Amino acid sequence: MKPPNPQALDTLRQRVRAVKERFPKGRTALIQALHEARWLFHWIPPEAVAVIAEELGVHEAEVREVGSFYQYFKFEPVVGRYHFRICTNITCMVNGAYNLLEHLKGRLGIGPGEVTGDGRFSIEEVECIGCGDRSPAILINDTRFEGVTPEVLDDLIDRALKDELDA
Amino acid sequence: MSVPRDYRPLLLRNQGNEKARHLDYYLAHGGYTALKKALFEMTPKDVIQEVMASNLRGRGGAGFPTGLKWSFVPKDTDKPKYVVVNADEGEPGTFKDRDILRFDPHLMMEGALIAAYAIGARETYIYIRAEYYAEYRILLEEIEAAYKKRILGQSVLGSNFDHDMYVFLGAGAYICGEETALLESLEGKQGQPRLRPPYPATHGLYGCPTVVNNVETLANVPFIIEKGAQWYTQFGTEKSTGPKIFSISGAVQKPGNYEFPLGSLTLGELIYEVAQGGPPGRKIIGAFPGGISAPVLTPEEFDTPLDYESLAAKKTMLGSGAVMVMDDTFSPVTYARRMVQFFSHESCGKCTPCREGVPWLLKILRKIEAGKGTQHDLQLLRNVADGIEGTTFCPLGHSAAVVLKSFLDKFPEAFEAAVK
Repeated sequence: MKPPNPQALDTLRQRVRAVKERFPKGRTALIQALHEARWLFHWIPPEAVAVIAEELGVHEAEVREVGSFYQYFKFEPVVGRYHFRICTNITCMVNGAYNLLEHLKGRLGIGPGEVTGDGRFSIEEVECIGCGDRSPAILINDTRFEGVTPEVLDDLIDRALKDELDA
Repeated sequence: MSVPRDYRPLLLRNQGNEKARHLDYYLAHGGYTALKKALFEMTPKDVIQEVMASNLRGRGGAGFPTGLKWSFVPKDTDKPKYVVVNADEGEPGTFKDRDILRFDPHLMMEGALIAAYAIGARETYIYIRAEYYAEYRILLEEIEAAYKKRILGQSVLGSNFDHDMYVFLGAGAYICGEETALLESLEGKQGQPRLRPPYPATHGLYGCPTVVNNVETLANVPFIIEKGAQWYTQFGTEKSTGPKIFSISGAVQKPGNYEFPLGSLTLGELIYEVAQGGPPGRKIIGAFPGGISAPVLTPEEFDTPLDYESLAAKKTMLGSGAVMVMDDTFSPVTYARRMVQFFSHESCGKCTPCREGVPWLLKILRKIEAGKGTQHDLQLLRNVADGIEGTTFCPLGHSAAVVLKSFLDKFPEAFEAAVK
């Protein structure tokens, strides 16, 4: 894994400072700061942990201890440019989520917790994302896609391959 | 009972209207008049009295009386006080708060401001789940708009009440919907529940008096203040007052959010009439009546009215009002396994019965599902569930056990057949 570029780390530093201004009390800024890192790097590289720790005045171990509790923060490079969160909870399951997950695995050649060789795609099986009215539903990064069929999934992947997917 | 077709929704009045979320729209349609009334015509005590008289109960799942919760906040303290909005809608099958945030965020914000005035809070934190990123963006925009119109900031609406509001994005942990875990998370810690008492009303955010209310709960408040508790209590039953949003999903033809007065229709009417029953060729076998934490009911029990007391009488609960309908696509064993898988995945690891016990349940269920289970495994499931029930730090692990036992009790043939 190559280290993140210094410019992006500078951007992170600026954003963490802004977060600290918005949430000055206690350690509240920490989780929001981790989101900023996620939005820049998809996962949380050690260099980002160092920036957050330094700016918030906490130990790097605290950043990891707190951050690793939450599913959105991965401290290993298991998140691609397009991170597919596939809900398989009861409602989505009833409406075909497992077929969808199998289709995605077949199409991308990876399983949950893995990233494609080019770093473009990753898969995570997740719990309810609050879209039971149009299930099965998925998130790609922070963007919600509802009523997803294998055909829709193929189209999303094709668009992502051409960098034409807004997510 | 019959579906009250002529009922006009209050909380979902703007459902589907993408313009309605904007502050201008809200103000043009009478928005923030309840807040004005509270600030200029009522004392904080009057506000709490009115909410208590309305008998409004928490819509997040626990059903605790809202006015009573507010009344527990100490009046004579020099500590800052906080309102925290629980928008961490993680209970599987629930998507009601999402629609309030999407189509009527100011209704919730007005409710939060009224709550803040009632308890004397200077700040509100809205804790929204990461999966609701779109709604997070909406809140950021609408809060900014409210500052520009002097609805937030110093001297709210020209009164001597000052208030600031912040949005905090969660990071994917179901347990943070539990109010004390939420507060831990908001303080930048792992989201593990706190020992109670003390309750948040006295020791909440940063150890200060705090009221934590669900989005839908707060969305009820402006109606109560503007029109009065007496008007409000015309909706619902004597003990379960007011409107409720039901999120119905799964094996139904018309899933969605539907709002009705509490106790005005049965579970069966919601499933078969409002949501038009299961897809053709599929047979409905049961439903979770109030989220995945609510013990399941079978079609023979679908004549239960949807209110707190009627569902409690059936040893289940209204919970968040999320009805997840199961059909014969999968066996009860698979549904039970998926339910336990959820709790196993979301266990925070703090207490042993939940951290160790729930994954054991999952392991046994996977074995049974794979056709490798024995009679002994069925007995073991019950034994482990008995060991978890009532022994966990918070309701998470407990729910896994009682919901599993509801499956074992209601679908005995399916489990017996699976171990033959």
